[in-house]
Amino acid sequence: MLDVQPEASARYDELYGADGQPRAHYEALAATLTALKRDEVLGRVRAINTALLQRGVTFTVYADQAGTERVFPFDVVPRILTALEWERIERGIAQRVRALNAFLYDVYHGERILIEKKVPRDLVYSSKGFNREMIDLDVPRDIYIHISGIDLIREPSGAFLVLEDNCRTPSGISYVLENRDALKRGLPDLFANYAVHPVDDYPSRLLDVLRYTAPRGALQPTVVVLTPGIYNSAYFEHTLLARRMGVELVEARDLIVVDNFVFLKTTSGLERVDVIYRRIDDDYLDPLYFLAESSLGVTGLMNVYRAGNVTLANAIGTGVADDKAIYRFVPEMIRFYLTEEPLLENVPTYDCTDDVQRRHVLDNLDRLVVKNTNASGGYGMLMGPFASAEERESFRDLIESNPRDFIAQPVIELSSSPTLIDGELAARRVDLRPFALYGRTVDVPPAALTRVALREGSLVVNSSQGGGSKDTWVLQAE
Amino acid sequence: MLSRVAESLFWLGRNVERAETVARILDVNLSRSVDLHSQRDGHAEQLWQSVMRCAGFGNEEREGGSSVNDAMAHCAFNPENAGSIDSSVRVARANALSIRSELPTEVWELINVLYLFVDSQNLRGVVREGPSKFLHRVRDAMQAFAGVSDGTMAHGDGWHFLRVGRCLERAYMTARMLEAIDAEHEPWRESQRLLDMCCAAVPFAQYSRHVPEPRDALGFIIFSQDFPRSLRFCTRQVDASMHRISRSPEGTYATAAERRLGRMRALFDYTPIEEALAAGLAPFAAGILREFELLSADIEDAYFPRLPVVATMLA
Amino acid sequence: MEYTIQHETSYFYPETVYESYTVLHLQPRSDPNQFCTKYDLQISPSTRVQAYLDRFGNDVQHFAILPRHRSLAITTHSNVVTLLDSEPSEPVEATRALLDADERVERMYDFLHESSYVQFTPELAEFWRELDGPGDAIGAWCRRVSQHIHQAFTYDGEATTVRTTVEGVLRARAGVCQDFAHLMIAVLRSAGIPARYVSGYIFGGDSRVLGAEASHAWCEAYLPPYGWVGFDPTNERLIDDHFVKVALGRDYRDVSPVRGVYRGSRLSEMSVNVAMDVLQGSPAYQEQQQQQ
Repeated sequence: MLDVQPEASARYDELYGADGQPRAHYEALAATLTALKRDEVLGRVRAINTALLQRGVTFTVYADQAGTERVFPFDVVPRILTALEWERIERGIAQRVRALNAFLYDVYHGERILIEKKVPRDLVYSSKGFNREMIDLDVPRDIYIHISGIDLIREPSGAFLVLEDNCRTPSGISYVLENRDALKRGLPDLFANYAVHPVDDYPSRLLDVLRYTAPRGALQPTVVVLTPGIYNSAYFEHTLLARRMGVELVEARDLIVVDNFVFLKTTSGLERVDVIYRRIDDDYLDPLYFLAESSLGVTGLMNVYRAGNVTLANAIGTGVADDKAIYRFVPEMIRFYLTEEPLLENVPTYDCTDDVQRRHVLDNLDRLVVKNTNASGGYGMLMGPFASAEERESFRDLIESNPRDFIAQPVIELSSSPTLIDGELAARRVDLRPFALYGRTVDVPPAALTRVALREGSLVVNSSQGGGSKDTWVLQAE
Repeated sequence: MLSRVAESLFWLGRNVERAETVARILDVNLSRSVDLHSQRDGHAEQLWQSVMRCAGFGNEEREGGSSVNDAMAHCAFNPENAGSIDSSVRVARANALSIRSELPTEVWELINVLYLFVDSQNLRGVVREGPSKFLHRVRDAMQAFAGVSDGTMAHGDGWHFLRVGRCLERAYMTARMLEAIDAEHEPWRESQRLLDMCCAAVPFAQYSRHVPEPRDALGFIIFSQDFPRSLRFCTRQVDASMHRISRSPEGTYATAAERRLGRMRALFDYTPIEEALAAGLAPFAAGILREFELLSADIEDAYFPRLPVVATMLA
Repeated sequence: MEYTIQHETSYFYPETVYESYTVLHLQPRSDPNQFCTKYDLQISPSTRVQAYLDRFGNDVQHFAILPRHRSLAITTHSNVVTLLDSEPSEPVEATRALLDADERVERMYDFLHESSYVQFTPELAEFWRELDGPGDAIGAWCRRVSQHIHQAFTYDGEATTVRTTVEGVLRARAGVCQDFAHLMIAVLRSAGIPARYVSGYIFGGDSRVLGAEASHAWCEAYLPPYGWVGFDPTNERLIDDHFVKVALGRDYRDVSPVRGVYRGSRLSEMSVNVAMDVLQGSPAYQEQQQQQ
């Protein structure tokens, strides 16, 4: 039998309440887990992993030149959210995405928020994601962030906080879809007594958004997914989404710009493309305007975009909205553009460009998490309490020479969820990445990714740093 | 369809077919060599030399022995041999990966599972367990691939490019086998070996009414209208698919590839065997091989344009 | 003064190229000090041309030549009337106090910070030691910077390339107008004075000026109460009625007259020809003649 026991600590336990008993919505799951034979569960887990490997549900890690394909570790114990919890998350995220989108429109047009000094102009203009070609450029439906992933963590009180916004090319939905599939087939017993929202309509919702944001005049818009190719770490996701949406997966060499429109090169001639869901960074999109060495881009694409003849999802230049240095102004954006109070709060954040705050950060490096504003994937980060003295010193130097490149946050005790480690259940920390789709409205499908830090005591959940994922169940309302 | 996708399907087809054929060649000759080994008259060595000639690519100047181990090492596992089973499966999988969103899940999984299997094997382990097991697994997976792709893919342009790749490779490998057998000195034994390597022993027996001559077997492999591995049959399949792709009527040509195919079909449809083999089997086979190489180049030129790098100018 | 300018840029490729996409900043600007009365663009092989106005207010054209070709010729014919003074006065009233008080400076981030060609490197810090500090009279100071660059550097077309940044110019102590403009901009920006890059033409006529018969480059500094004031460090003069502005931006990257990407061999040969003449018979010319 799998032994399901609570562990004492200062963090929020997803499964266990303060009384040491499973929370109401986990009772059925806890009972099922206790009743199942350990060997059988482990056998099913092995079968699930084999199936994932055979299907190629992998990501690629590049430690050196050659990349190794790895299955993204999947833990079979689901993480459950009640309908009420989800509703709050949904509303908070929709609000946040609307504000971020409005911010993008503003910084590329009237700059009201900068003129009124709510956000420092210097921070925006020095942001690597701020793209000057987008100044005064109108995008279809004024939608910049078609797809976003807003990372949430649960603090000890049980409240969700926003850890980070991802507004460029957020990934992970492929694991959500494949994990659910694998769990339904491998361990259907777990689902007994639960009414879980299905996740597999995400691709059709995404397609709706992409079609909705096609340029005016495109009656039956042609949508494509643009991938850098098989060597990209998220390639599997690109193929999955293209296939499930029923659209072509293309690489740069399949596209050509003619007379300010984008066309697909097919064996029977050119076909016009109206919407490109591009999984390529801004800098690589067009060698004529951005990085000249890029072979992943489509020459002349920027001019087609400028003329309003193609939709890019997400728009170029959204990186300024998920810049970590801009993150702490998002609550202000919500007030400024929506005249509402934020429904989801930020993690408290220190601005290293402010003298007083920087002093505080440097004096407390052993207690803070320091993040590089230009990095992602868990790289360029200092976990103060777990780092060595040398690591802290090197960050001290970096912060002092380039304060704009760093922010700091207190260590938040992430919530934990029981996870199968070496055949036993143990508490491991988790976060939550819901995805938001901005079309007619901001839609937050109940298809979120829970990432789990597989290493004991670790608070870092990224795939490249020893993370895995869990199936996330959003329960239907009673 | 996208040229890039067409190209991947073409190479997927060629590599799948190559892996299957090489596995079959090795397997057939493996059982024969067991008999020959006991005779100790150098026949076993000749046998393996012949195998290397037809299933080992880029080894024209190779040194080294000719034994079952050499053959397995070079034709099954050598990564520098572009035609080895290992290389073919790897390339097939890479091509399948790049068009993953276009392939039915079952087709992709088949290739991926075989790739994972081949990747996990090595020469020593395979030889110790007996190469047959490994070779049968490869052969069976590729045959399953044929069935699944025929059964689950829409027979549109994509499927036709896949068929072109497979049939072209099949004919090409058959021509290599024709070139590698020693029909002059050992007509009976070699023609029987050829039939086995082409999986044609039973069909040939069913086809020949009278007591067959070795030359009849050669004729069957080259000219049979109904046997799916004959040069004539394969060429006709490639031609039909190419015309489907270009939407041009049969009997006309829209590309240089189709023109070449037309001439090759005429060769197989109308040349009597005595005329074809007048100068000997080996020269005939060599000529056919050359035609298939040129045909592949014609197809690539027509449908898979090469894209050179991008350069910039600044004034 | 009214000028007529012919600007020809030609490329020859030893091996054919194709899928060529080009962006042009060749159309002279119209602003309170000059208007472009004619702009005619010819491209061979002929192709459709698209246009837009960029964020600096430059008129940009772009086109593509997709089929294989061995040569590309871009020719513009422009007529421009300039209303600048023939002897502009020195910007002596520009002070730091006025600059600090000007609200518009807040919005000039791009003209105060680094850009692709303009970097604040240790070489620049070294170069600062050759100059006296700006002080409050920043207008006069800009003029002195321009003079220093003119004296301390050699005009040499072989010393640098079109890709040379400020760091490279300082090491070579030589360059052409593009380099001197970049250097002056770097100095001004690091002193907190907004500075931008201007490409255009300079009329030589009978006198010898550097940069005639070619694309010329200079810089503009934002100096209240005057607004943007132009300095030509290459010829050590203020911008007067011998200059025609084509485009402005942060640096050369924003205003390259011809910039493109194509497929095919990297090799190409380029030739540029600029012919600039006073447009005799124009009203501006007549007026000028009458005044003399």
